[in-house]
Amino acid sequence: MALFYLWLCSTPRTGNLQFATSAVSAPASSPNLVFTTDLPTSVSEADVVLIAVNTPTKSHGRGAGEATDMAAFEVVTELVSRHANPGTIIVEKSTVPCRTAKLLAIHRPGVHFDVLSNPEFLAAGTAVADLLHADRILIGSSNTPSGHRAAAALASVYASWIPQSRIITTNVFSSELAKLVANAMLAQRISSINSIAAVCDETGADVDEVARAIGADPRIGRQFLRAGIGFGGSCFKKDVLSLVYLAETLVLPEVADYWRAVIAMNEFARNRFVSRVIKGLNNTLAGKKVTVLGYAFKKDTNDTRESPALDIIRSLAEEGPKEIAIFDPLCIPAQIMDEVSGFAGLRALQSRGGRVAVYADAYAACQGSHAVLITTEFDEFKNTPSERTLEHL
Amino acid sequence: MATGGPTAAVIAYHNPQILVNVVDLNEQRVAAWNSAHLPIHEDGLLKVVRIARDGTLDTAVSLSGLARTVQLKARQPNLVFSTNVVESIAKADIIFICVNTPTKMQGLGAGSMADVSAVEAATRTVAKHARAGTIIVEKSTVPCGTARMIQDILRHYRPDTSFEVLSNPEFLAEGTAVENLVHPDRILIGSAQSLAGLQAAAVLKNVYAAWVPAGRIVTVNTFSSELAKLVANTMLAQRISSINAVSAMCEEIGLGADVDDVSLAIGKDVRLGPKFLQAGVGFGGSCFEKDILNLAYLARELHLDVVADYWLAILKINEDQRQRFARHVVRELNGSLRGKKIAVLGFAFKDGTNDTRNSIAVHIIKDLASEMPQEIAVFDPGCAPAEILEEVQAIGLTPEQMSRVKICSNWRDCVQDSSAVCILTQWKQFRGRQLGSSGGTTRNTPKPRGPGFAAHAQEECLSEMGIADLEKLSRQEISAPSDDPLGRLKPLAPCPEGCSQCGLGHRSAQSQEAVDWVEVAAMMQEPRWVFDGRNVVNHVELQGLGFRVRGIGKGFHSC
Repeated sequence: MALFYLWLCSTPRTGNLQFATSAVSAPASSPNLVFTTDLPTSVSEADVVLIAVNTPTKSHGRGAGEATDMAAFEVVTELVSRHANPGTIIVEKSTVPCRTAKLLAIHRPGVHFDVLSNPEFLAAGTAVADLLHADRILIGSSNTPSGHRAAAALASVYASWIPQSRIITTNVFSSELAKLVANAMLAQRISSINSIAAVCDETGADVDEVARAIGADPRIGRQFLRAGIGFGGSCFKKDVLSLVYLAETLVLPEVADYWRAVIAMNEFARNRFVSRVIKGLNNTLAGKKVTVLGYAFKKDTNDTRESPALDIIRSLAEEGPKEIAIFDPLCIPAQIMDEVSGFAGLRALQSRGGRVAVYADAYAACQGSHAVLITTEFDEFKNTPSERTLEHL
Repeated sequence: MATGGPTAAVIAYHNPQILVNVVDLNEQRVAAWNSAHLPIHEDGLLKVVRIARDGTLDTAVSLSGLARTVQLKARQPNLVFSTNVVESIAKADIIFICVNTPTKMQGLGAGSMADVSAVEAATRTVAKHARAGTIIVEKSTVPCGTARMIQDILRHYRPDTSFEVLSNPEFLAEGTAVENLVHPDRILIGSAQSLAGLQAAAVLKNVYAAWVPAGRIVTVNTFSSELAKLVANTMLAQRISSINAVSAMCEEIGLGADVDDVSLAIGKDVRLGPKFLQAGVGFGGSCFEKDILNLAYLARELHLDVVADYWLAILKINEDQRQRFARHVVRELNGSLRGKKIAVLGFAFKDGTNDTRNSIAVHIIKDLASEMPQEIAVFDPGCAPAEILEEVQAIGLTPEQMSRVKICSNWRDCVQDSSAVCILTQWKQFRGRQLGSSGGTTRNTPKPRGPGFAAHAQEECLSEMGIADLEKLSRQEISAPSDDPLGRLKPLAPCPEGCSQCGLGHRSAQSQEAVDWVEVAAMMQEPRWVFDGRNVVNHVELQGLGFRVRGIGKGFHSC
């Protein structure tokens, strides 16, 4: 079987397309993974085409900030439908909002393609492990004989390394929705425990103890109950907002509000953190140096998309401190500077006379600082007990 | 729910060396605890109570699986129910406060704050009579900070004596209380983080260690413990509201979107887990709503309005879900219920309970009654018709609306001539006799524990856990299932002449019969709607019988 895996690293407007294709029919010893930009040939030879383009949140127009930007997806869909052989199975791997499966059939009227939904459940930093030992593979198909056949064909690709019991086949819409809901409910767990952290701060309870106590209930489970400054990353917020937008288009305002509260709580957690910093420094940052340790949205990645640190730095900058020092063990200083000047203006950088400085060394970043903010849970930032403490224990 | 009795019984059952006094001011309740008819119906409770309260007989057990005959020594009674409040308090080393804390119905925080006046009153009595050094344990679901309040009251009455106050919240579900107590997921003990506090926590831990593995006993600070109880229930309720919110979206998307598929798919994610993801008409019961309101009230008091609103959204979805259900019923019956009979199957907030309070059904009945149907017939295989009627009367219907509500004692009377059937509780009886089940979750049957018995077989004195293993062994040998295969139980004292309880409790076979949907099809009127609020029936099979079926979160209708 020839499998064509298509992804798009940047928007089609720049014309920078990258494609990969793999021919599974080749003998086991010879290479069977090929990267290419030759879309028409690869697509026309493929039995299965997987579409995995980037689908960011719309930044302008109707549904801005909530709806998924389908521009890249549309362009690719059109190309695929033009070049694919009739009967090719088309698989959407991108996180696309529901009801988009039908988009794929528009460009070749009269030609039958089976469209499957096969959402990805990967976390940045553990993507390969997540692929090799997947909790579940979800395949959505139309409820027709040919839809079921297509689903079975895709399931057989996965069955070579995933146990059958973990491959779930559903209706297309259930599958598309499940992806959004899974991420929304994970984000919800974080918002829930963060709301409890706020209660704990005001009372004398310890949120880690509460998390441990409730996590012992197997109906709730232990994971994703770490309180912090809120979730970041490109997925959670986007998927929750997609769900909100979908609920709104379905005229379910209560449901939209329900999921929107997850985002509101996330912002609340971040704002509360900034307020505590400022309050802790007697409500003024004038003449003070503040150090931000961690810029990526989570540990062991240099992905900074929707990182809570960005917002925190912006809020701190508004207070006019003497210096905001930033250090991240994985992000390149030049990249951080580039981004900071993007959201706070070029003149925010110290090199341009501003107050934000990016360091390549954590100790230098903390030198002479009035407050240190830990904004990413990198292991490097943990205080390993000194030998004296260990002896004491 | 009232947890004091079952908890005390299980503690006594597993700790024969500890004398457990259960005291109550209500003489009738105490008399019931001392009789064959306990005031609470829970599976397995009577046996546990009988062993601890009445003691057991000397028994010799010889089974083919055993090398030698095992002698089981008689147990002395160590569980006493009485009204001797003062005397019992004065003798105790540990005092559990398990009084009721209903939601306040008037004044400040009405409808959302827990009323702790009973805790206050109980604490005062304890403060006056307890010995120095007695450990006080709050078991009631109380607002955070109650341990501090108890401490304040104690200090007021006994300024020269120090008492340790522990929080030890209960995590019991109605219908499975004994199972939850005997095999708990976790025991939570909150104490002051002082030396005396930690010592007191260790004493209580020892009581539970008689039957709970040490790894499941979590010790934390007092306030964390009080808060954890509220948060645990709230987050369970949140899972239900989340999946119900998704069910609404599935219905509106149509095109085959199915909330049960979504539950299945996300439940496979180990970070989310598969439990409590069953979509339905919403949650009822006395705990979830109360605990959410409590948590929201606490947040509001702390000026955390965002947090309060965040948690109240769970209740909003819950309310919206049941209103949507009633709306769908009316809409599918062409916008009017006049001249039509509606059958409601299921009234209890969940299956396996006879509790009619805080039911979802009562709100749906109210919504439907306002449409003035010819009749609303209600049937529940677990609840007493008189209690159902009482709850419906309390919801505030006009006399005219009320006259249309009939409570039935079997499903046939209920569905006869109805135009629509609404399934509101997931009783297995509703799945149908011939028909397979779909969707509905099956209750987890408790897994039998490993053969821990062999290890203690040689010991002089077997623990109740060892004896339970023996019973399991003996049940495998004799085919007739028995509650007491070893013959340890003492005979119950006979009930007084004309005992009102003896006649009750045995439900008629008719009320327990599984619904025969083939028969229902013949009994109903067109258009034979089935609104399955718990996704318990197999939709395809029912459609084959000529029903129109609408479940929760099944987006098939608009195909």
